Parts: sequence; structure tokens; C-alpha cells
Amino acid sequence: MDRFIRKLLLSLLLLPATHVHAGSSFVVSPSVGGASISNIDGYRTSPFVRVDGSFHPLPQFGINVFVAHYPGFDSSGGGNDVSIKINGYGAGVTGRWPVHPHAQPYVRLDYMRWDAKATGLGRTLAKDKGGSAGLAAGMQFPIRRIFGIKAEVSGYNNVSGADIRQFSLGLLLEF
Amino acid sequence: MEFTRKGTVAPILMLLSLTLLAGCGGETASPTTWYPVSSIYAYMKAVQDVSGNVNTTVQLRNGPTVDATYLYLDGGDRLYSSLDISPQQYLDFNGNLFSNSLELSQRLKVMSSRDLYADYGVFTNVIFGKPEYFSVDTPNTSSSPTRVYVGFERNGQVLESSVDLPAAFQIVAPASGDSISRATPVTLTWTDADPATTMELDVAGICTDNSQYNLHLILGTDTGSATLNSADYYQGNASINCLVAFMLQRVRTGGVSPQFAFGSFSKGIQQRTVQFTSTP
Repeated sequence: MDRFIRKLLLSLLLLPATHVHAGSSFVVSPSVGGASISNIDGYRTSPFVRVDGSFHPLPQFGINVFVAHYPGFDSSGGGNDVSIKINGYGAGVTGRWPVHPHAQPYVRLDYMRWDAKATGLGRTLAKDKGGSAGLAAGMQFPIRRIFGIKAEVSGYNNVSGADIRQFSLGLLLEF
Repeated sequence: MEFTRKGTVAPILMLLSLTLLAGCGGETASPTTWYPVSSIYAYMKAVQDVSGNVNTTVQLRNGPTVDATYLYLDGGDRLYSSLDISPQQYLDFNGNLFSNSLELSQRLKVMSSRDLYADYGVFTNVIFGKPEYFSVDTPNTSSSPTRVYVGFERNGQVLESSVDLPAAFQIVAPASGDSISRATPVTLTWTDADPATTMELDVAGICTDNSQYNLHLILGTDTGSATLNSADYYQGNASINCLVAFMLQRVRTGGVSPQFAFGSFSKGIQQRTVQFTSTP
């Protein structure tokens, strides 16, 4: 097992990240993570999934669209159980610099349109929809020609009254 | 094979006989769905004790008399309780889902069921087969007076009843732990008399011969004191000591949703308790 891991790590380090394009590229990036509410105590962390797609006319700059799904922020600490589900989509811009072969820091500014639904007491309690600006910072790690991974922290304020802070890990496919 | 059959039949016979016995002596309750709301008698009581917590109980019956059948919630019927903000307000909200849902989660109580229960301080009493609904709420200290709401939900509609709790008071005399002779009357005094309310007294005693009793007295308009002869509060053997609890209640009547049967009522109660030893 150790030998396999050593080989894998060596491969990751030595493989040239040839997918750093001089020209334009497309990136598709599915990710998963955990999201928590920073301004209201009483909810557990929700998992979330998100898929980003971006077009980079330049390696340093990209235009981004995404969809996201938060299956449920559940209330904690007694009382009636309530859960809030959020679906979102949006667009933004991404900047990455330096475009290093092995590690590429990036920031993203985007805007998410969201639909939130609160359930509890065996019924839908209320629905809400709106839009929130988001800011993300992360690091991409190119591994093979088109394949890489990323880690990211991000946040959206005032999603139906909640400030969401989240951490995610994802894959990168850059064409 | 024969052994197996005997072993199977015996428990069935025992269950059958227990079922018949239960049918003879047990109380029965009916589901609320058998009755339109206008046929349901709702009796609601919100009691705040020295801890500050508000214990809300609701009994639903099919008639106004004591022998009426108690009703249990069925078919999606539900009882809620809340303090100062009505259940409907908690249930109806738009926007700010996170904070509003959390308020609902923490402040709106779905009332739980239990068999009819009375805590007399020196002993408790449970009457099986008669369901009642209860919840415990902690009031926001900044609101005065505290308003207690009870909501009965049927088919998405919530019928609301409410009562304001009367002002708090403390029992001055007798002091807790006193020994009081039954040879002379006992004077019960309390603070902050409120002539707009009625005083009631639950008395319970448990004696050295293990006998126990309880009484309910209506003292009348709140004057701040009441004098009780031993015959008023004592039902034990004349020659023995008893531990006696006075549960003094300041009572205010509240409103019940007019859709319930006429005769339904709600009471808001401040209750303070003192225990003493009653001697011959």
C-alpha cells in the first residue's frame, strides 16, 4: 500500500501539468462540501454539491456559471425539527494567478439566485427566493493533462437571512 | 405437538381475559376526528409556578360533565402552545426562513399527550385512559403580563385561545416547614393582592398512617389573606400528623376560540406552594 501511495505521489509531482493553456479553455468542476450558517446559532452544517462551468479566454481570467444544491440545514438543540433546503444557480468571474503548473490560487466573485424551502411539523412551512453575492478563494492543483483537483472556501451573505460559509473539495476538467 | 398447542392457547386466554377486564374497569377515550369542533369542549389551563416556567394543559372532551369522554388528537389534529406570540404567527411567515424557522422550532410547542396527571406537591395522581395534552414554556422575562396561547389545528386551520397570566405573588404565611396545630385556625397570607382575580386553593395531605387526600377550595376575590379552620383543609385521622401542601392559585379567566363548544374555558394561573406539618 505504501509503495502504491509513494508511486502515486511521485507521479503527481513529476507529471508535467501540460493543461496550462496559453489560449482559451473550458473548465468543468464538480465539488462537494459542507456549509454552515455564521450569523444564526441553531443549525447544523449542511452538505452541498455544486457544479461549476467556466470559460477562460485567458488562463488568468474566466467567466463562470454554476448550479448548487444544499439538501438541508437542520435545526439543532431541541424544539421542533425544521430543515431548510436551498437550490441555487448563478454566474460570476474567476481570476487565477499565478498560473503555476502545480498550484494555482484563484478567487471568484459570483451571484447566486436561490430558492429556499423550510419544512417542519410535517409540512412545508415557507418558501423564499432571492439573490446573493458570493466570494470564493481557493487553490487548484493540476494533476494530469486535463485533470486536477481544487479546494475552496466561499461565502454568501443574506441567503434568506443567513450568511453561509462553506468549504469544498472538487475535481477539475480543463479542455 | 399437544404441548405446543397448550403453550399457545394459554397466553391467548390470558390476553383475552385481560382485555375483558380492561373493558370492564378502564376508561375509554375517543378520537377528536369523530367530532366537529363545535362539539368539542376544550379546557385549558396555564400555570406559572415559582420557577417561572409555564405549564399548559389542555383537556378535550365530548361534553361538559365530569363523566364526559376524553378525546385524543387524531387524523392530523394538533395542539400548539406558545407565549406572547400566537401559534398562527409562528406558522405563517415569509422571508428570513432561517431566523423565522428557528423561532418556530424553539418557541412554538407541539403539545404532548399523557394520562390525566395532577401534582399535589406531596404526591402525584394519574388517571389512566383520560388523555390530556401538555407543554412547558419558558417566558421572555421582558414581557408582562405573559400571554399564553393555545392553538388547535384541524385541516390547516388553527383555532386560537389565549389567556393572560395574573401577576406573580409569594406566600408570606405559613412558612414552609412549619408545624401547625389543628386546634387553631391557620391564616394564609400572600403578597400583591389583586382584587380583579380569584383565589383558589388545592390542598393535599399525606399522613403518618399512609393515608392521603386532596381538596379544592375557592377562596374568592383576592384580598391577600384567608383564614382556614382545620375542617377546611384537613381530612386525615384526628390524632396523627400529616404533611400538608397548600397550592395557592391566583386565577384569571381567558378566552377560548368561539368555535369550540359553549362552556369551554381557559384559565391563567399563578401558583405558589407551601408545605407544613399538621399536628393534632
